[in-house]
Amino acid sequence: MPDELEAFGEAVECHKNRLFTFALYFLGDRSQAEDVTQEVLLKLWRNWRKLDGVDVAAWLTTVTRNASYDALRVRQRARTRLRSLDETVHAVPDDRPDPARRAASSQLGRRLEEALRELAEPYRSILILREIQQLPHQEIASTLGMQLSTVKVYAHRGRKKLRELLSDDLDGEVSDAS
Amino acid sequence: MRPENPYTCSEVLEWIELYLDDDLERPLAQSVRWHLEGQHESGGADAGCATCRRELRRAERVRYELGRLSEERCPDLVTATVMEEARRHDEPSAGGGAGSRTTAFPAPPRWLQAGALAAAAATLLWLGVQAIRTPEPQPTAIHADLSISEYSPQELARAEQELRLALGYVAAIGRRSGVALRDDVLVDDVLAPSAEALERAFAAPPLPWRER
Repeated sequence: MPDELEAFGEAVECHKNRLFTFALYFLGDRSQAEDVTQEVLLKLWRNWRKLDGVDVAAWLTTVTRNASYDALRVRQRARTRLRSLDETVHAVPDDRPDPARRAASSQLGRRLEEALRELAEPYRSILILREIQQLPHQEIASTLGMQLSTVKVYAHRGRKKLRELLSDDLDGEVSDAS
Repeated sequence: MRPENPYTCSEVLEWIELYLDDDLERPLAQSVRWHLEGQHESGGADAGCATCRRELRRAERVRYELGRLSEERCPDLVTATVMEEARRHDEPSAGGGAGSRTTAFPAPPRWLQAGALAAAAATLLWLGVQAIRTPEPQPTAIHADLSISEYSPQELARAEQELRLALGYVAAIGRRSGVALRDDVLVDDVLAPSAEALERAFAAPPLPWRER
């Protein structure tokens, strides 16, 4: 048990930032990303012995993606309910990047984060894994249970969609001469 | 040698992402490059297609900005909570069926914990205000000679401090759980009635938030 706990602690240290980053960019809400990360890491502990011989990194990515997606659906349902109740207290979570990150990133970078969250699945997950977390296409393919060529196509289309979503912002950033 | 360039702009635009990923076959990649950048070795003035080249720059800019989105650090509180839960509850599950569970209960989401605390704090606050606002029963022999004026300034100050702490607690929980209490709602629906009730009950000078 102490050895297992120690090994678990090492796994937590190894994967926590990656999982938190995925959830944060997927959800755009730091508090929810913390909840998802906590939930996923506890799930790892509960399944610790079952995962012997399993690619833990891939397993964690899958579980984090599912948990993030669930959290997003819960949030969307809550928003719908709040609107219908005509709440006097505004309880809609703020899904803009938090102030520190807003200050640190460029205008285009901020719009990019918003645009990323406008992408449907699996474009969003694939771009987060590929572009932010720098995972090879092959690893993304095996994690998401897709063909390598399918992942590449989604990545290309996802970036193209981002370009379309950012069209107005890019007009001022890219000149013909560059 | 000048490569063949039978491709239209719409075809080239479709291939831009593959071109940047170096995923096009070599002859096709050369044709796309020629379409985009032109051929200068023959001494011609062909500078390629400006429209497609502009789209290439936009695609490169999106990639650049995506690459700047950095990995974020997971807050220590999250890992501390996880390790505490892992230590506290029990052992991880043995290799049972896919549906088997350990006796470890999943920690409730933090928004739920915060929400429950906020609800409890708000209820306590509301009960306190209602207690103050409720008309006093007819005096009995026991407390007929008690009056508000018998509360010492220290007691009044402490009551005010506790009220402030409770409100601060609600606000902190709100921030933590991502719930924004609008100022006008907080002032009109919570603070103002509380302050009026306190003023009536204690004949106290206006509280700071009433001076807004």
